[in-house]
Amino acid sequence: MSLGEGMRMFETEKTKLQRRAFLKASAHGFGAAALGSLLAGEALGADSILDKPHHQPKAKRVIYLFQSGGPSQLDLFDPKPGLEKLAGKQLPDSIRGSQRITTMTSGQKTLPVLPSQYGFRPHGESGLSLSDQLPRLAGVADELCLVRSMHTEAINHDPAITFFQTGSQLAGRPSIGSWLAYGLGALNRDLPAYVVLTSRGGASDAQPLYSRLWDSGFLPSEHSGVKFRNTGDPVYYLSNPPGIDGPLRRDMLDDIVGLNRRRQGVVGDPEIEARIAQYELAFRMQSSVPELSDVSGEPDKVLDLYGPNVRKPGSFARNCLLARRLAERDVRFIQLFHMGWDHHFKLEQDLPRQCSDTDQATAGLITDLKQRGLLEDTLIVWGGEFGRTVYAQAPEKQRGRDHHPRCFTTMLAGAGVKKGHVHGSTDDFSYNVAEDPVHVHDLNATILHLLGIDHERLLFKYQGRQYRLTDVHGEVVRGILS
Amino acid sequence: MRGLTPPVFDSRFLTALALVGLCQASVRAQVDYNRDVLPILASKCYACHGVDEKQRKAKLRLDVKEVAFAERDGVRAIVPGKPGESALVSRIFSAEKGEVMPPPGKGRTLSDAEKTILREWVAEGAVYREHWAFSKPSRPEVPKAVDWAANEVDRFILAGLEARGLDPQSPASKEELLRRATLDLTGLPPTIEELDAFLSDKTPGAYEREVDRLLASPRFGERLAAWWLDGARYGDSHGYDNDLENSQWPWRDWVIRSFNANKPFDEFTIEQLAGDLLDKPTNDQLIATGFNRNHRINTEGGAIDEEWRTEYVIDRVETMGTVWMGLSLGCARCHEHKYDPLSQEEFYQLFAFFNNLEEKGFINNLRGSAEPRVAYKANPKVQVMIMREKEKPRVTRILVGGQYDAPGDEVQPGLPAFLPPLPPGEKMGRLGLARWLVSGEHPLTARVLVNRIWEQFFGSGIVKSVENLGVQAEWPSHPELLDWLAVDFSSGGWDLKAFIRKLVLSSTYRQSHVVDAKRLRLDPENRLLSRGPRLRLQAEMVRDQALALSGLLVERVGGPSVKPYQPAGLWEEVEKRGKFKRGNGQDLYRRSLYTNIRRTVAPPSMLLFDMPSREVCTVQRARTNTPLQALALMNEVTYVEAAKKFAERMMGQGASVGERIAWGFRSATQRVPDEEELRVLLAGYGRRLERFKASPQSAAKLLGRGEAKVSEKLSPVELAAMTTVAGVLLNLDEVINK
Repeated sequence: MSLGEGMRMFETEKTKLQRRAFLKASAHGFGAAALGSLLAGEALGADSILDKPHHQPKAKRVIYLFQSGGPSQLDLFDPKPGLEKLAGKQLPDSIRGSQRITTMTSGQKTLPVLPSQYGFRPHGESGLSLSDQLPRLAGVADELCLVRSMHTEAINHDPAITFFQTGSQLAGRPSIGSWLAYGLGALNRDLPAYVVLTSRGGASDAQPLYSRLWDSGFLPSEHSGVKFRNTGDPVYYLSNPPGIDGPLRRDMLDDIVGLNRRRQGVVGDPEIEARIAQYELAFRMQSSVPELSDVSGEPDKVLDLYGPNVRKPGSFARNCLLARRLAERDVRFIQLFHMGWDHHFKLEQDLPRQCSDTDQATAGLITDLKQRGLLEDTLIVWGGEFGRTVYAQAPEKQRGRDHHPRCFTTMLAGAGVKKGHVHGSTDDFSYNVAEDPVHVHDLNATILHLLGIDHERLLFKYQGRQYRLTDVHGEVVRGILS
Repeated sequence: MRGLTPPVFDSRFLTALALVGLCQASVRAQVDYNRDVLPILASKCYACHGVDEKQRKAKLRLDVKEVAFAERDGVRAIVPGKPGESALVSRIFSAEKGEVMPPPGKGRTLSDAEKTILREWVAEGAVYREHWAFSKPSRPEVPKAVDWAANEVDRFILAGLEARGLDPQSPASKEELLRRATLDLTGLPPTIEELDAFLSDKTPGAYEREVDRLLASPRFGERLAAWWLDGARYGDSHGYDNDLENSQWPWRDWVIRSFNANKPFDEFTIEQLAGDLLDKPTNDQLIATGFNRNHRINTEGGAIDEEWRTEYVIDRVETMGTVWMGLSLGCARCHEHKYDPLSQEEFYQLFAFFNNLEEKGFINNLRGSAEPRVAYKANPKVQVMIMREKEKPRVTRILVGGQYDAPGDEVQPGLPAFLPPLPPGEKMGRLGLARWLVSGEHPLTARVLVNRIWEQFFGSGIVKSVENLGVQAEWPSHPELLDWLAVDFSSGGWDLKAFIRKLVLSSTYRQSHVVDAKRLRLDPENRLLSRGPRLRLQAEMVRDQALALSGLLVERVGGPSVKPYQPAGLWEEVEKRGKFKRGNGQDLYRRSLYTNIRRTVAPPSMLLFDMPSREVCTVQRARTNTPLQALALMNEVTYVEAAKKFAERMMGQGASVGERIAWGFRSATQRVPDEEELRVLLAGYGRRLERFKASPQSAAKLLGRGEAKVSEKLSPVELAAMTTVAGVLLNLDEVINK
């Protein structure tokens, strides 16, 4: 390389970096779509770290309906008709193998097979088999893609859900939504790129959630998920204090902005300009967020799609409706957490309750998105952190099922995935994966792939090494791509 | 956003810069292995050609000279001095897909500059040198003395500036300087009285005396403790499922006392890592070992005891690695470290030092402290978790794949081969390990510590990745300065206050933070320190400053953590957290260091300003700039109440509205407002006064915010209007920066 070439290369690199630094200084945080075209194509926000997607994306956004606690695949998605005649019999050692089980059932004298109490029937043109507990999802069976061969590594809730969200069982890594916000940037200049909504089901007990699940870990913290709350302000500190109305707030803001700008003229620090932009964005959010949460303009025929609970703020159904409204506004990663699937006991009481929380709402969301043409570029994911055992926990009392990481079902729909399709299978006991195993890293790699990202190339250097969502693992699940 | 953004100036860029610099000067200098070559090999090649045998391709390793130079199947990867015969060079320049290295599509593609560096390095003889941070620092020669330099720091900094054609910025005004030093050393802004005393002291040594006053203040220990607590992952709850409260706060108070007493850093280290093993340990020395018990504890039903006990031991090793050695030891938990020369066996040898407690991995519904523990002498009802050795040592085995249930070969406590041996006379135990870290022979401890403190005062470490000084670390901005400071610190009795005093008395620190186009262009991140540091206040300082300005701040060192305002329903909306019982009265106004941190639902207003949740060791805080921060400062009850009380104080000053506003402005910024600033604030006051006059009930509502009452003697509409002025002041960029 000659000196001249070296200088040119250096200049190009420098110019690019300066331009990036400028755009970041003027538009980071939730980004500014207005500047997006300067940096990349339509698919990326201004604050995207990528110059362009690694390949043509199929999905523009994700609605991830996380079912916290671990729903039972045996009672919802993975029919095992042969189990009826084995009811109450000990799970064969040949099936169980040497796998660890939790201390909740490892002390139990027997591990008796508990067949599902619910019928399964084929639905739609595809003949997709679903539990009778999911009548509304049955109505959209031809939109669904079931991965019956999911498996994970963790056996307790905290590490398992952390693993799903971050690709590591240990705290401190960025969540999948933060990776996407970091990689792709925000498309809407008035809303965050990653929004989280939580709800609690009708079940008698529920596992807690932790803000770490949507945290940005070591990524810049503006990529953390912003949790919209069900009570009080939807976003922390969104409302003006009593006695300060909108015009008064604007009046104060004008003084803040004016004085900051004057100071910038003296000090010259570009960070002051960035702060001015963030104050303006905060002010816009004071209208855009309440407008988003206000569903009073939704007609009954839309509300009815989601079921009666949609009229209750904080319900899963209401959150599904908000998810659609967020999707319409091009929020990149919308994640709902619905608690209450941890059915160690009282399975036959709590599982139907959880299904009534989620079945119609999920089906309604799919239908609503489809009617609006949004299903084409929105990926929907529905599933929990692990599945549940075929054997009964507390068989004599209010029986239920224990945690089961070795196989379970995740459901997908929408952009880029096959419709009316089943991927993978389990053995006769739904205890081990029989065909086409899909690891958590594989699922995450596939979600990234659908958004135009090669999971091996979205990297962040921290503590001296390059990190990625899928650690050093993960294969895109080609078999489910449409 | 500054802080953790992907580096605008990464090592490639700096290398290119270095090369261009060299070319411009027409000097043919050698490529520096550590600065230029190693970062490329480590980030682009070692994953397949490094220490990890399992991942190694073609049996080639580039981290060991002998292997890289050896002939295999008639091919030599590197022939020193002969790039034309070196397979490494032909492969990286190859245009063929199956031939080119690194293989495409793995995110490891080399830039043209990187290829050129590797070729030049081979041409110059492929000289390998040990990673700079793994050899003991020697005291480098200090660059020439100049008038500008107040001490050695400045002589190194000036040399760096001159090399890039920059000169130092003019000195900061006394106002700017006192604000910076007071916030940096105490976490609080100076009062107007302190400022006036400093301004009127025209005698030599006035600033030095201010610095000594601030270093002697008990607030100093509180300020530095807030920093140490991040790395020590201190929280007030156990984390995980139920996340019940613990009672580790006496450990936090020990940290504050230690910093205030200027306990030498070597003692500070030994007491935290092995205070229990000292001869007849005092209660304080036992409490100090709580450092290694601050990790989270799992109380989730069904958790497997040994699995979690193993996690705690690993957490201790990783935390020690990050805090004292600047190494990510945890990488070697499952496999050989990919970058640093640490084997999996060596990781478990370190593990063995911390594996010897009579402790449980899973404790159902744990409230307070888990064994082993000790009563706190000052408050015997409080039990503090500490370290205590089992009588019969536990056998440590390598865990295959890092899995607790896959034990392999037995190992004994031991030290990594690439680091110095145990000091003579020491036993291979936890106490020996602690003394080894601070023996003065360890190449990392002092460098890591001075680098981390440097970052607190200058905004960025001399090595930017303060959490990592390993092979993958970015090249230091001032390598000789780092070594000089490290040697000075460790050979000078590990005296923290003396070290910090040197930093804040430097002319570098005393520069004005004003930046011009040239400085911004040549030194965009201020890594060269072509101006004084201008940094957003840390989370604790943002709130403490507002409390101080309002007069609400309650200063009392130590004690159980308190629960000030937080959004209603925060704990209740997640399961199993019970009800949040907010504190009252003084509990609302203690310094933020004492705010209760429930790790799974840490206080949002602190998290928004980048305080870590304290679930794991964190030694670098981001410094973000987000709209959620704006919403918090404008709307959170803490700040609205502070504005109200600040306004009340303003109303008691001066004879006119203008004088009152000017006093408030000066309290918040230390500056006298210029005419235009005063005009804007006065006009705003006038406009909003009219609004409140038209709607007195709005004024009453605003003044009703927060528990603190305001004087009934004041006109509510005037006080409300002044509250909005105070609110504007608390939101100024200048006020949330130091």
